[in-house]
Amino acid sequence: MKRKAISILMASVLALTLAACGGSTPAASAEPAAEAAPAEEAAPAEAAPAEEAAPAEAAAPVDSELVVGTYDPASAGDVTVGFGWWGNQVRDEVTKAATDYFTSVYPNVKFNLNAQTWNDYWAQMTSFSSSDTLPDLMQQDYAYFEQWVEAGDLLDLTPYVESGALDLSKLPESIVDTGRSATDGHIYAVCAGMNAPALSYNKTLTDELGIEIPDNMTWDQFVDISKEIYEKSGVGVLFHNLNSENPITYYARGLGHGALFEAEGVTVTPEEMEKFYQRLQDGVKDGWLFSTEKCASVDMATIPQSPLVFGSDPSVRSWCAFNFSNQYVAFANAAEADGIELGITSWPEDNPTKANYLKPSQFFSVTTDTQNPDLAVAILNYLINDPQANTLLRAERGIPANSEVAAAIADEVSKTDATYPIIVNYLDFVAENSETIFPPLPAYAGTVNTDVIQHLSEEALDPATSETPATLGQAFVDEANAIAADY
Amino acid sequence: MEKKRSLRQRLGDEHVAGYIFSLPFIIGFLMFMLIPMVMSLYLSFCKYDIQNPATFIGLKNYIDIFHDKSFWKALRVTCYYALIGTPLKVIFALIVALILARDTKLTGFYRAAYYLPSIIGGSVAVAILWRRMFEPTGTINAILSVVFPGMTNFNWFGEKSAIWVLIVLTVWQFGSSMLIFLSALKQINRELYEAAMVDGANKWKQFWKVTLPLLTPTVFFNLVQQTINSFLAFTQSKLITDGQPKDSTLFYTLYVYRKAFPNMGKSQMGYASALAWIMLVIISCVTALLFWSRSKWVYED
Repeated sequence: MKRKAISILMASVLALTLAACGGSTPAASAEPAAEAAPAEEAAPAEAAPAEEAAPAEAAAPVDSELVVGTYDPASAGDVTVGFGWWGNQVRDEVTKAATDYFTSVYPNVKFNLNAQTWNDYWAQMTSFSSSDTLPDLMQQDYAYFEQWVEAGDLLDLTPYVESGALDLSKLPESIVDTGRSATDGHIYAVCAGMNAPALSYNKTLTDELGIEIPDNMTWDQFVDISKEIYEKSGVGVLFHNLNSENPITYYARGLGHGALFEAEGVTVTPEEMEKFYQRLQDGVKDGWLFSTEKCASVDMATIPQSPLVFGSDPSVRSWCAFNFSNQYVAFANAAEADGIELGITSWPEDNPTKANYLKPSQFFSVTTDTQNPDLAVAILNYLINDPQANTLLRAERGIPANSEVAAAIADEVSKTDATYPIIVNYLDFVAENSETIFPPLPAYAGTVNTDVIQHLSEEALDPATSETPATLGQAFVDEANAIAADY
Repeated sequence: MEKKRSLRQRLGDEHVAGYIFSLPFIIGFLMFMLIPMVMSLYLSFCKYDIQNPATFIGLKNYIDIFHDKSFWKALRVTCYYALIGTPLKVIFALIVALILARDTKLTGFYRAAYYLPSIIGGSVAVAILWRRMFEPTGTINAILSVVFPGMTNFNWFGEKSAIWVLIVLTVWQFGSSMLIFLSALKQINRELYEAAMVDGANKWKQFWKVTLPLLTPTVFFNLVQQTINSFLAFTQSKLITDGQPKDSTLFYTLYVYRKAFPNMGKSQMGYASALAWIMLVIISCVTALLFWSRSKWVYED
């Protein structure tokens, strides 16, 4: 009797488990579903799926008021398209405006928007990736997209480019190439905008103190200015997000290394890194640079709470912020609320013209989890090439790489956004005062950021530390190379 | 020979009905506890970055963990938090329960008011509020600077003090332990106090000789509960301090999370799974230790 009861139990558990598995099947096997769904829904409109079109001759663009390429989004039926990105309040608003506009023209296409901060975005996307539920479109980063290509999460866009469904002809060849994977040379990501490292600073404060901030500052000039500001006003400097390779890459480029990370390890020597950590220790000793403990007391993750624009006491304020030119919009918005005017210039470095670079601020990619690849590509085309979309996006992700679009939206965006001409000017300045960007980072670089760079910077910025710059420099090279070797 | 019975009769059997009614739990347990646990045990012997298939690497994760400075740091921080925070919390809960045990008109209100922090305690909103309060220009410094003028810009998020910001938060969330103490206090036989009074014991003596010994089973229960909770605390560390500065508030669970879902680079899910299993062993040991100590100090009728 007992045995029977148990077998009933087991059977029902099995049945329910199977039922539960059945429920998740469509999501788990997105590929066959993706092929089936458009075929069913778009049966009459044989609008030539991209792969079938002869690659050589570009198909005619769809007659639409939006620039969507060769696929007619109206033929997709009622669908919801997922779109995920990291960013800030401004980016969330402009992206929603652009997708809302698309829906107003194609009411059958709804969007499921997923906005996160940088930190939460990757955690969430990684788990979506394991359950094959990634949004149709996802924002990607220059440093890490190679890792996603390797995992097979990104759709190869090359066939769509060849068929004309995705029009990249107006983008400079060098920019299109930044979205190519090093492994197979195919395009997996499209540049969403151009940016460059930029130092945003509190112009209201420096004007008050009568201090001029020159472009292409050297590190020593920057130290002198920071000291002066600190002595006169008590406002210091929050050097950088401590867990980022960006400042070290910039430093290494200034020394003449093209990149910081190479396949087998880092390019810098322990002696070079010793100098880098010496700078940090000196800054903390002189008082103007935020120490580790002070960094912990301020919010670095969100722009409105950044010490550049937020804080009621000079001791928790920073006169400048090390960021990228496209973030200037969000910083300027936050600063305006506080009655502060911002200025923009290059990051200080001894060879600023060697160190500085123009870069794709971020990419848009289509994921392999999409059920409607043709539609996702059409939307991608809209985001890249449509003037109206880019007016709504306000160049918050950087200056559009499509030069015609960039020119077309300049007047309109400048009307609503006073920062646009400033950023365009700055990028023109960088174009003349920079060298080519480093190649995409090898996969191990992210682990170096979180496991090595953060610890060593915290150690260097701690006035009570027992470590010397020399030991820190040695530790940086040893630990980073150990991670590279073990990856 | 057994008679053939209908399905209805079978379902009427007491133990069959029992199994059916507990099915929702059993299914939930299998799907959300047992299967993930078995998977994580397997993954702890693998190199697994979520996006690519796992590769078996044997004990490497466990060996690496013992050479991992951050692991030892996180373990130290978590033990410090649990071993200092938990007794403080239980003592605080007991004191408040003793005060609220007397029946007055406002007792009900006070109980609800003091229980409130525990309900909202683990929430994101409180974590953010807590951070704001302890910021250099926050409320706490504003209040303290009235009494101690030097406190105006005191940095609570320094290397030594940051952990105390989190300990104070956990002590403040004493509500659920307090409620358990309150109901235990109600169950103490009044006659014992009368007898003690006849013997000439004052209030202080009554507490030490009657109340406390009879409360020890409850103290024990709260201690076990809260110790486990402390070892598993996550929200505070993630949202209030993010482990900073210099990992001085890096809770073990946050370290596991960071390895599994790093801000940058590949996930180290296998390594994180191994960390989680080590935590399971540690919590089991601590709990076993507490149970072993039970016979030494817990009074049983």
